Amino acid sequence: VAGYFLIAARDLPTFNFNPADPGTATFPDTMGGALLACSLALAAIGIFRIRTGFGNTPVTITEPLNVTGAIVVTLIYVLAMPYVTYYAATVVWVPLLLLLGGVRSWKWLLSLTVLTLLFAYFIFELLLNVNLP
Amino acid sequence: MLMLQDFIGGLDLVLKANALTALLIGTVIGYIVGAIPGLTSSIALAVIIPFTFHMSPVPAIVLMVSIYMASEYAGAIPAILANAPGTPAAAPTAFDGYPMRLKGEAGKALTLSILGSGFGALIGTLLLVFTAVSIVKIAIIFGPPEYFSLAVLGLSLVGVLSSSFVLKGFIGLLFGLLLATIGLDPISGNARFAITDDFLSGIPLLPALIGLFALSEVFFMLETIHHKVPEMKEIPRLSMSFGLFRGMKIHLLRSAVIGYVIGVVPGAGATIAAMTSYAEAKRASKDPETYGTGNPRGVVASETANNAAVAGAMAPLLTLGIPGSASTAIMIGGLLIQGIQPGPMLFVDRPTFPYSIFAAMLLGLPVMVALGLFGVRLWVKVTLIPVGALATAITAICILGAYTNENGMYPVWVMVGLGVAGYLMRKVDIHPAPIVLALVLATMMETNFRRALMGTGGDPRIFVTSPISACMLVLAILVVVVPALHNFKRRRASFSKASARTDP
Repeated sequence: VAGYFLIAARDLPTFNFNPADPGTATFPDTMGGALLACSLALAAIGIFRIRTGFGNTPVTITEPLNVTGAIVVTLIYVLAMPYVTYYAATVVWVPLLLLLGGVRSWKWLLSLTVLTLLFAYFIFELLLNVNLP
Repeated sequence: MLMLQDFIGGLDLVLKANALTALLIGTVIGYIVGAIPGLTSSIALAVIIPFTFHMSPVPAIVLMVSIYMASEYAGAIPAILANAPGTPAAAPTAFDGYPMRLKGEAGKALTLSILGSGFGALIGTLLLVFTAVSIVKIAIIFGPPEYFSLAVLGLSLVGVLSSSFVLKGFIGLLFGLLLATIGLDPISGNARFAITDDFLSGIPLLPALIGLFALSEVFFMLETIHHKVPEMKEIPRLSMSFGLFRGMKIHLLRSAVIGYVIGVVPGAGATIAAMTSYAEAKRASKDPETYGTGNPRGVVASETANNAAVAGAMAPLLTLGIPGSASTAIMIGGLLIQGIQPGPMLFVDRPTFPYSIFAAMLLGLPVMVALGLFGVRLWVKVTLIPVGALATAITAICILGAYTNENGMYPVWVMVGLGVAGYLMRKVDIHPAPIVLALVLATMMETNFRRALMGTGGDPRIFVTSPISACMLVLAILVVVVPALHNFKRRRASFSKASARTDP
């Protein structure tokens, strides 16, 4: 992230109406440089910890399939929404996410899907005047 | 006299049907959120803000404040009944609350926690009313250098306090500051890092908040789908008995003051307040060994402090425009959407508005205590909702809320992108609070930095020649350097010990 901002900041305009203004690129440059320094320091500490084994706590995801599945399903849902409409996409997405969340009861699957659709229609479309895709 | 007039004006605004309805709804939502382990006030606020778009400012802020306060109240309920704190700030409550339940004193523990919370919130709110005006009197003379230094100090505190590892806190901060530079430069109007036209308007604050707090939490919730909250066989009986507090006057007052003072410090928040108050109560006690085994004073120390901290966190938000906690950072987003810029000028331009918040906090107290005492049967049931169902409902509201921000898909993508990024960053102990606070404070920091330089022909000495600015910068440096050195020494000592143990 720091590298991207530092490189992209090279293309920012350098002209200033007020010569005392440090310019458009100063702030992102400074923050990008600082982030790069902090990240390198953290990487160095990480390498030290891996080598010595001291204070090295591995990162674990308890339910990797469920979490990854939820991320993928949600990304596909957001991607599909403008093409198949909000309601059609939601009818598929809610039960899938519930299943990934360990809910097996058909009562929960059905009721939460219906409730989500009704909630979106009555609260967002009718009450808040939101035009859902 | 003027303060009293403003307070009456604020009270008048809150005593309207829409504000009172918002107070009641907010309190109920806050209780539900607080009673569910894993859900916090920041998640609830991030999810609720889209619903405030069409509300007028006073009911909107009353709704947000009552959610914030009630969720801190309710965090104690699952902490006592199931040893599963509803909010992180209720963790010390479980130390003694759960052993009390095991001894058959659940009703007493819940009564103490609810009344202690009410007392903490009352003292915190009174302290807020009286200290806010004094802070405003100082802040009103602030110019660009002071505001820049204030933002630096606020961010330093947040960076240091948000993570056990200072470097990770700062990585979060800098990530947030960089994200905030996307869009139009606030001084020159030049476009920065806008890969598509959507990015010209910058990273929208509200979807970013929803993603970082609520959606990232959903992924965490999915990791706990097999954790079961033990079901309560019998519902405890609660009563409005102040006799339980006999001999605790000093204890209550000390906890409330500790909570308020820590709440004022940006980044510290209710969790640190509750932990500190609990530790202080134990240290000052004649029988410290009873703490952790079901001592009612432990419950009172934690609950009084974490609720007083809520009022404390409101002080820098309203008087300086600096959020004291993750929840108040989200509330800034909600206020900005309403066209209200928190800070000292709010007390000058719209003095009744901040007083309406104080009035709402005081009016909300009896409502919260009554709901806590008489709604316990419902709050116990709330803890039993399946995690998967909660996660799905929250995600659905997150997506709808983000879409509402601009009636388009760009904010939804920002929300989902930052939700996934927030989850991955939290896995490596980089908390979203500094990212959000940086997003809120970045514009204030950059514009005041550049304005200060432009005002002096580019002379950076302005930041150290102004005494207030210099003091804040020195404090910011100390805040970072002292704990970093302390941590470094501690880690080096434990590394030397470990090496000595492994060497033959």
